[in-house]
Amino acid sequence: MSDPSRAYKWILLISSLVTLGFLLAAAARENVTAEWRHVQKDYQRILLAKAGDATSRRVAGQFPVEIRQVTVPALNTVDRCVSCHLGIDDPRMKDQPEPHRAHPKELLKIHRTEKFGCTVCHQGQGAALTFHEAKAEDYFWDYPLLPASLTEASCNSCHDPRALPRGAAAKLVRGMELFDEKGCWACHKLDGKGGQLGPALDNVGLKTKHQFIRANLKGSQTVWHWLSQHFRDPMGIVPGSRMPAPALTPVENEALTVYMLSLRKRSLPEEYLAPDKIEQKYARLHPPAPNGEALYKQYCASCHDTGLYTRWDKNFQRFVPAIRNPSFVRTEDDECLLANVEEGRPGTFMPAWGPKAGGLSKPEMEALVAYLRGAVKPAELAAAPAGGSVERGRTLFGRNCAGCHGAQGQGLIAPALANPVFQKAATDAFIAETIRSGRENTPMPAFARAGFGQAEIADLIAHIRKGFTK
Amino acid sequence: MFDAGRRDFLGLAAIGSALAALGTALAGVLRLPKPAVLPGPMRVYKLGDPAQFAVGSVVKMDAEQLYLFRDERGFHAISSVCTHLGCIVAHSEREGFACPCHGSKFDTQGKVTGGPAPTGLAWLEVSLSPDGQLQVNGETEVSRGTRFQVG
Repeated sequence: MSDPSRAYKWILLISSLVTLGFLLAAAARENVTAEWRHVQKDYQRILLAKAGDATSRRVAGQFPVEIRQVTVPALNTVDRCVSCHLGIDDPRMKDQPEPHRAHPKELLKIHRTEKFGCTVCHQGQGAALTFHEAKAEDYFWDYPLLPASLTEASCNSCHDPRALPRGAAAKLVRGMELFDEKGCWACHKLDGKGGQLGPALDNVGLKTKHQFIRANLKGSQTVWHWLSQHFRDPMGIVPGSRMPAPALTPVENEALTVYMLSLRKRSLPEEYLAPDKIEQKYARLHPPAPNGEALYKQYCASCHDTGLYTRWDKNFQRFVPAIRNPSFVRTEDDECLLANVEEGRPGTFMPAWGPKAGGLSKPEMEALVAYLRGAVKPAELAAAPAGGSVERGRTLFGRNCAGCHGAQGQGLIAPALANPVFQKAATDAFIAETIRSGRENTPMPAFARAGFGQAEIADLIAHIRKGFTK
Repeated sequence: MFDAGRRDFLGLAAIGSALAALGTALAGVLRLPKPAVLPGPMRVYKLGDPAQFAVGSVVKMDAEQLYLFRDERGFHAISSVCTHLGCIVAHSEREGFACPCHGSKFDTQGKVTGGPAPTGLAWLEVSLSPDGQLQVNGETEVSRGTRFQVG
């Protein structure tokens, strides 16, 4: 005789046993086997071993096993890292293995844990209780734990890195130098200063990985890995990018990555800012006397190189003018050079550098022009021949000039002659002289040697001034 | 008989294990309102080497909102927050504590002697941190008269 409820009893028994099993496992995981409990018990053993007298033995014996945290309301952080990193502010723990080890370099003496917490410098998920979740790499967390080799990036939030004691943030300072040396400013803006071909970099350090193009990024998907890979091969990571590879050694690559990560527009309470950081903020109001050569390296050299020779740029697919070439500088006066710097060449890769565009002040642009000029004085140019014919000029232009300057003066591999800034800044005498004598060290030939006389030059000027159609 | 006993055993086991599972779940649920740790500001203050406080000294700690005393019998810490409306009380060696806001008065032990304050000032737990620093726990009250002896 079979019991009809027998199957239900089995189902109830098995399902409730499975549920009970899960519940007990969860209870054990939280109350017995949690990672931080083991760490705290280990730490207690270390304390007992180090205890010298009866009092410290008693204190070590009473060491409570509990979740510890540092809450900093001013920074809006809750950091439970101290649940496992128990010895960070105990100098006796210098020689202990992680996670018991004291914080290196005695940094906590000047950055008290209670005031700063942990994640304000190290990033990571402060409220986590396992290392995996605290590190939060490839996890649901925007700012994963910074690797120790990159933590210096956080110093820039409260310090002027150059004002720190020598070597305190060596990588960060090196990164800042590299940003100047490699001429990153030519295309990237910081605080409103710089070129516009690339994105402004003011807040790169607070970007999350989702804001980067990672389709071609192999390996770790962190922002720092993206940055260092991108420095190695910009076009390989971002297809269509025009950024040249900055040619960095591995050490320099890391330094520049640290500097990029340090660029964070965060609003921290004033009491956290070092006095030198506040000075750095206001230093912009009292800029030092501009140095033309340094400005040239920062803002111009990336594209124009030394400026003495025309450079073929394979990313731009055109020649970059030789702007310090004596044969060019002698044909232009300072106003004309200044106009080119200030207004750039709209529609080409040459940005405007005036205060409202590239952010350079008038004295800075004047220093740049003085550097471009060097020791070369502007020559007295012969007046341009007048009375040319646009019709004849068009034929001559088509045969001799259009190959490089474009049939409509739009500029192919050579400068755009129809460009409004060129039309405004260049005088007829300048154009005539350039056609006549060419440009040394550039592909622009001297047409006088090809038999061009006053008449041909007059025709060409007439065409260049009036012949281009829109 | 045997058959009936086995059936009975199965039924009892099923009901028993179901109750055990429910009970465990209930225990877990009942723990939820009492979390192990709350994300409030930290109120355990490390005050440094105990030797820096001379016997007979009284130190007012502004950030920690307490007075730290050391006498021959050891350390004790008294909260400087008035139990009436939370002003910071002033201390004088002879008269005890006085609140500037509504005139509450407390004796040298923190007991109320006058004014609107409902209870005396809290005595806070003093202890030694594992790295040998004097430590006051602003969250744990101890009974009046408790002293902490170092060494």
